[in-house]
Amino acid sequence: MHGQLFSQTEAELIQAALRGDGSAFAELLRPHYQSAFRVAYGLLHDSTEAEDAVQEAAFKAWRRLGNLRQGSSLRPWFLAIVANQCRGTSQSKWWSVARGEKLERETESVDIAAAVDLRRALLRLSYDERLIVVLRYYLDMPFEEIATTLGITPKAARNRVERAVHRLRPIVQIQGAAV
Amino acid sequence: MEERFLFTQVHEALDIPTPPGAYERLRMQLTKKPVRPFPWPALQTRWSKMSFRFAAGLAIIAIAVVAAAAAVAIHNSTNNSSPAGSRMSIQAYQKMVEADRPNPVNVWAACDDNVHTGCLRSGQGTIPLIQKWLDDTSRTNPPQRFVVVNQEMRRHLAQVIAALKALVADSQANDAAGMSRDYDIAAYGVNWTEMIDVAIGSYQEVAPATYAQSVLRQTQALDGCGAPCGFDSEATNCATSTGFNCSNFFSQVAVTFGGFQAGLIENAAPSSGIAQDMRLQNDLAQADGVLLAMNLDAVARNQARFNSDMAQLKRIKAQIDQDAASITG
Repeated sequence: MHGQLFSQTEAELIQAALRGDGSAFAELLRPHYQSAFRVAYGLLHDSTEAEDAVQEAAFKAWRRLGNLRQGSSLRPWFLAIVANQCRGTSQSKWWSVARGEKLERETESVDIAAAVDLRRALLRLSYDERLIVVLRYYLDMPFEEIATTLGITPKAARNRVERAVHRLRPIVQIQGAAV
Repeated sequence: MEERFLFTQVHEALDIPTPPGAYERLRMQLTKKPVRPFPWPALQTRWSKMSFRFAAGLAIIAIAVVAAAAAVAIHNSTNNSSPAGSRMSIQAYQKMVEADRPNPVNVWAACDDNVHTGCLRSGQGTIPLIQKWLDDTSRTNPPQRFVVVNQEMRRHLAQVIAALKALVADSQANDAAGMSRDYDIAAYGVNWTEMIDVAIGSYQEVAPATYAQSVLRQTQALDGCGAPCGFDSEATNCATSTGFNCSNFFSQVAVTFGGFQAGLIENAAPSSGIAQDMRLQNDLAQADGVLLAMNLDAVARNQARFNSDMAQLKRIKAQIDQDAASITG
C-alpha cells in the first residue's frame, strides 16, 4: 500500500483525498508533518497540545482541500491552518488543564535569570509575533515562504520579523549578558 | 543581533524531537474517520461597499451596547460587594481564582476561530460561569497585594460577559461579521485573565534586588515595544488599516502592559517597597482601563477615539516610567 502511494504524484493524491481517501491525505501531509509539529510546538510550548493541534488542523485541512489552488504549494497552506488551530488552542487555555505545566515551570525556580529565558519571552509576545519568530528562526523559512504562509507580501513579512525581534531584543540581550 | 544568534537561541530554546509515532497516529485517525471535503468554508460571504458600510454602522451600535452592558454588569456586581474589614488571605484568594475557573472543559475552543460553528453553545455555557467568577471577585475583600488586580479582573470579566452575550445574539442571527467582532472583544479579556491568573497562582514575594531587576526588565520590554509596536498615533490607523494595523498595535501593546502587571505579581515587591509598588500597579491599572477602551475603538475602527485614547495612554506611560525609575534607581 505504501509503495503504491509513494508512486502517486501530489495531484493524484489530492484527487484521491478529495474523494475521501484518508491514506492519500495522510501521505500528502507526511513530508510536512515535522514542520507542522514545530510550528505548533513553537506556538504552544507543549508537545501533547502541539500533536493534538496538528491532528485537528489536518482534519480541517482535509475538509478545505477544495480551496487549495491548483499549482500552489501544500506546505504554506497547511502550516497556515496549523497556525490558526494553535491560535484557537492558545485562546482556549483560559479553561485548560495545560495551565498546570506553566505553573510548575514558574514556581520551580526563583532565579531571575531563569525568568528571562527565551521560551518565556516568546510566550510574552503576541500570538502573531510568536508565529513570525517561529517561522523565521525555528523553521528557518525565507521571507518569501513566510509571506505565502501568512498571505502577506515578502516586504511585510520582513517588517513583521523586524518588529518581533525588536520586542525580543531587551530580553535576549539580558540573556546574552548573563552567559 | 544577530540573525545567526537568534537562529541558535530559538533552536536551543525550542528544539525537541517529534514525539515517537505521532505521524502514524495521525495517519490512523485520518484513515479511521474519513471526511468529505467541502469546497468553501461556511459563513464566508462577499460584501458590497454599501453592505460593508451598513455592517460598520451596525458594528458601532453593537459595540456601544457591549460597553454599556459591561458597565451595568460591574455596577450590579458592585452592589453585591461586601463591606471592607476582613481581608482574604493570599492563599484563599489564589484558591478562589483557581476554583472559579470552570472545569477543564474546552468551552472556549468550541467557538471555532474560523467559522464560529460552536459559538452559540460555547457562549451560552460560558456566560454563567464567568458571571459567578465576576460575582466572587466583587464580593471578596481581596488581600492588599491583589486589590488593584482584582478591580481590573472585574472590568475584564464584565467586558467578556457583555461580548459573549452579543456573540450569542449574533450567532442566533447568523451574523458572521458580528460574531468575529464579539470574539475579538472577548479574546482580549480571556488573554489578559489567563496571563494574570497564572501570575496570581505563582505569586511570590522576592528580595529587593530581584524585584528591582524584574521591574527594570518589564520597563525595558515596554520601551522596546515603543515605535515598532505602533505606539504612535500617526502611524497607527484603525479606520483604513493603512500604516500600522490597529489590531496588531492593540495586541502587541496590550500584551506588554499586561505582562508588566503579571511580572509585578510573580516577582512581588518586598514588604518595604509596597507603597511604591502600589503606585506602579495603579498606573498600570489606569493603562489597562484605557486599553480596554482602545480595544473597542480598534474593533469599531474609530480612529478619532483611538487617537485620543492613545494620547492618554502615553501620559500614563510617562507616569509608569517615573514610578518605575523610583524603584530601579
